[in-house]
Amino acid sequence: MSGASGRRPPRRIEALLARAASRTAIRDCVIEDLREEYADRESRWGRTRSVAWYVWTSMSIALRLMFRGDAVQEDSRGRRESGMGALAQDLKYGARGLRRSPGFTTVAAMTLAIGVAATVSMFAAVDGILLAPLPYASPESLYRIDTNTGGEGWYGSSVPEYFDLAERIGAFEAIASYTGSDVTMGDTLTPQRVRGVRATASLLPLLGVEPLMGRYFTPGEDAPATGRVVVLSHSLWVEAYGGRPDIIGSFIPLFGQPYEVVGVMPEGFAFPDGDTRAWFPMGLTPTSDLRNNHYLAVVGRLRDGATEEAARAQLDALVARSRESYPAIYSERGYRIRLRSLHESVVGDVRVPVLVAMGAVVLVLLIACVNVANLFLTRGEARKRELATRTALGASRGRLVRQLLVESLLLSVFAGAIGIGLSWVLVKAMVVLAPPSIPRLDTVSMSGATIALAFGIVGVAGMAFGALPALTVAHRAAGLAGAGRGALSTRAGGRVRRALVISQVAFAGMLAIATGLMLRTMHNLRAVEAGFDARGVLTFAVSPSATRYPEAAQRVAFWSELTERLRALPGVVDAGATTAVPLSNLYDNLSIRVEGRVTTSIGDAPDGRVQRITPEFFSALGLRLVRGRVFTEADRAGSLPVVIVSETFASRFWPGQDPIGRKVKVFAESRPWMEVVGEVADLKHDRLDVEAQPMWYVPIAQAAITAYNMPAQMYAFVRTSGSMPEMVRRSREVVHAMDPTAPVWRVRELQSIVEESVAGRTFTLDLLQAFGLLALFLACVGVYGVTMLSVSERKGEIGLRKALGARAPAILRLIAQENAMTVGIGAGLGILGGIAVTRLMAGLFFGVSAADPRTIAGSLGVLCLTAVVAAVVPAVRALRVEAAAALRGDA
Amino acid sequence: MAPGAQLGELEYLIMLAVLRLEGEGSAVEIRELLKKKANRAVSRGTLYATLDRLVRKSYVTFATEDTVPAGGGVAKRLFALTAAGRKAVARSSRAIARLSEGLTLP
Repeated sequence: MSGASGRRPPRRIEALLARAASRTAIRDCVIEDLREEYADRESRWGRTRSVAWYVWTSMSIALRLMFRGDAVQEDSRGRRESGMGALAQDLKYGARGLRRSPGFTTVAAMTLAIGVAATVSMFAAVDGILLAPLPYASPESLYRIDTNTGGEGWYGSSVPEYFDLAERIGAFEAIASYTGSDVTMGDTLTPQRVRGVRATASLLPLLGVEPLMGRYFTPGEDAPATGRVVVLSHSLWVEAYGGRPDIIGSFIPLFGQPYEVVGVMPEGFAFPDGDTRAWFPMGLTPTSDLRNNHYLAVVGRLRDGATEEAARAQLDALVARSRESYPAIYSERGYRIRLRSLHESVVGDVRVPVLVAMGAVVLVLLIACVNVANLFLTRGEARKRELATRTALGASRGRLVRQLLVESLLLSVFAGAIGIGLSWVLVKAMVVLAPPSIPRLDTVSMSGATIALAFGIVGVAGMAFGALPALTVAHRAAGLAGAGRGALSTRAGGRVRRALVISQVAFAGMLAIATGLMLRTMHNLRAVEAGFDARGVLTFAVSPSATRYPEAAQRVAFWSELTERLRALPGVVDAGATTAVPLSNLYDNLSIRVEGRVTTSIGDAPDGRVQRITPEFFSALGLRLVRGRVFTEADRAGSLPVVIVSETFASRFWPGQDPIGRKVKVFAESRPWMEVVGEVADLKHDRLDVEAQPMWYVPIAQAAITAYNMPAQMYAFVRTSGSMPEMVRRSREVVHAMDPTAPVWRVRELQSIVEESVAGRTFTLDLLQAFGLLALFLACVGVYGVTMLSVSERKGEIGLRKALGARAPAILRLIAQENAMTVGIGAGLGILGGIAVTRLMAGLFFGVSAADPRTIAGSLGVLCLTAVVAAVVPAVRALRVEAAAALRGDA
Repeated sequence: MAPGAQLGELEYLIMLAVLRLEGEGSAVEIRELLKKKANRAVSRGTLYATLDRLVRKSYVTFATEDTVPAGGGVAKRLFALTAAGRKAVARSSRAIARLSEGLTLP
């Protein structure tokens, strides 16, 4: 052997081995032998593999030395063991006992491991998503401030409202606002769109996170017409600029202008979400926008010592004052401000789905534990004789109980180790597979708390499994006589087992009901008409550069030409463009005037979501025309202003009447009236389960006049009969040929946008289905086990009945009766539990009530069918019992 | 351990191996010899546990060779039989011989 003394095994492992071998006479021999062999292997294998070998080998030696096989003999010869020795002996007995029944050990350990893995990984998700504090300084004093000045839901503030908040609410130490703003970065060669945020200078200091390099932008830079400065995210800095340290102070092209990079945020900083990659000033002044244009998200940090109540009181006072000062804005529709912790606003929407998944997992764990407990009970019965013998030979009851406990703990630890390994894999998978609709899922990991929970489960489960048989067995172990009579059933043990199975069926029933309701929900959601035909439609966003296309008319020409060129591509059925993607909830919602309706103030004006479109938009999207006509090339800038309205729009403002020829305009007096020329089917503007809202469409050629503006960025919709990747490539070529500085981005298939809009629920459903199936399977195993046992215990009785002339149906009835009781009671409890639990998740359901009788009946049908299947094999076995053999007692 | 107690089979085989190596055998060599001559694959852990037991029973002694190889290697650790060990091996061998005498083994 090459004795290269430089190659030493890992010191800690070696120290552990030395401790394990400390009570042997040959400790030095073991250590030195292994050290020498390690050096030899490392010279041949390299370090990693040799260390793995060393860890494995030294662990197996250590175990062998601690639980030496000869200890039994020595003990039986009366050698006194110390306390440690007794424990070691118990461990050794336990390990040996588990080894001796590999079937039991494998099934019990795997069942428990699956339960632990599911629970621990789901808890990691709960911990990372719901419990972990937000990654900002003192996150508990951060709040989000939402506004409602009419209409549904909560939204942001307007600029003047923001300044009111910033100046008048003393309970806040700082207030900041921001709004998402996508930006084109780069030059003509590699333009790319980047998700950015325009923010006030107060935002980043308010969050209390220091930049990795450089600084935030200053209030001086956060003024109109100044401040071409930007703070980059760590990822953008690394990806686009190779992590260059000299980036600070250099200029990068944004919006076609040079922007000075003043700071880089540290890795992991995310605000408002992980996709945001640049922050720049928005240069607000109190008069820079209208009081009823609500687009600013507002966050605030509570002053030290100030309470939430104080802040609320100040907000209420502000609301009251504003309503007095601006009756035209607030008098009719009101003004409300909501204060919510930032944490709540980030995770509030996913709390229920995540907790539902956690609940499902806990049920699975419980069912798994019941199975393992049953296994232990059965095994305890089978070992009555052994334990009674040992009692008779003088083993104390305490010693026996302790041994049983050690055995079950050993099994639990083993299962726990497998479970932790499994959950580590599951957590990784979850991070990769989860939909983006669940916030913070990308930061989930196996935290200390998670590992602690795993140990907790393992410990409690281990004690409980051991305690069950330990108490019943040790109680009865007093005499050999009882045990000697063998497999005669004990009524008490049977009752405990049956109660366990009842609980199992009940848990599985609860899960089955929740899963059934979720299945119905998805079915209902998929049946909802989105209003358009999403198949074969490609969409992407294009922003023609502001320097090349500064005027609205130029942008209209750009988009007309672009859709023209797209339509000319081979395989294209139709192509159009609009300002927002369906289901995105990103439409401009404008206050309007409807001819014939008196509107005194903007506060009581109706509103509708507007889309500025090219004439082919409806056919490209497959949106049905109800009556009238679609736009044509004749609807130009100078021609009669026209509008097309949605069905909901028409029925809300002209119920039961023909909308064609009616007149509508935006709220501002200076804008012209538009004539309704067509009515189209509703389009879902938000999630599929949200009612369609009134929507109106204007041709892009007139948008700058009739809908205030003609935005630069629009979305192209291309309906194609060809392949998608080919279409994407050709579309890029077309755009590049027209404007090489205009990036093509947000390239999506419309179908995937539809899928994504239900992704949060799909995730919940997938989890529930997986756990529901697992629960059914485990419950099935439980029913099977307890029926099998009951059959084998009642062999004598069955044999006697057969001998007395009972036929197969009578025997089956016997088995069925017993099972029907168990499953019936379990299912009944399951219904009660299911109704109670699903009520908590009512918000997740769509088109089905939490107590839907059909779903409950269906779920229980599946459950009972499973129970019947589980009982088939034991029933067949009962039929095979031979009367004579059973009566002899040796069957 | 009462004198005259019978050796376990593995103990017996290991002591034969130690005897065959004439006091020059290390644990590694003992293990290789068992594999080669007796076709017995013994895990390291089992071997050490048994050797430890035999040392405790005073059948086997364990010593480190005095001379450390030049160049900084490690000293060899060698096992040898004690007088009691030799007696025990002889006793077991005789018992086996007597019992198998005249038997036709497959």
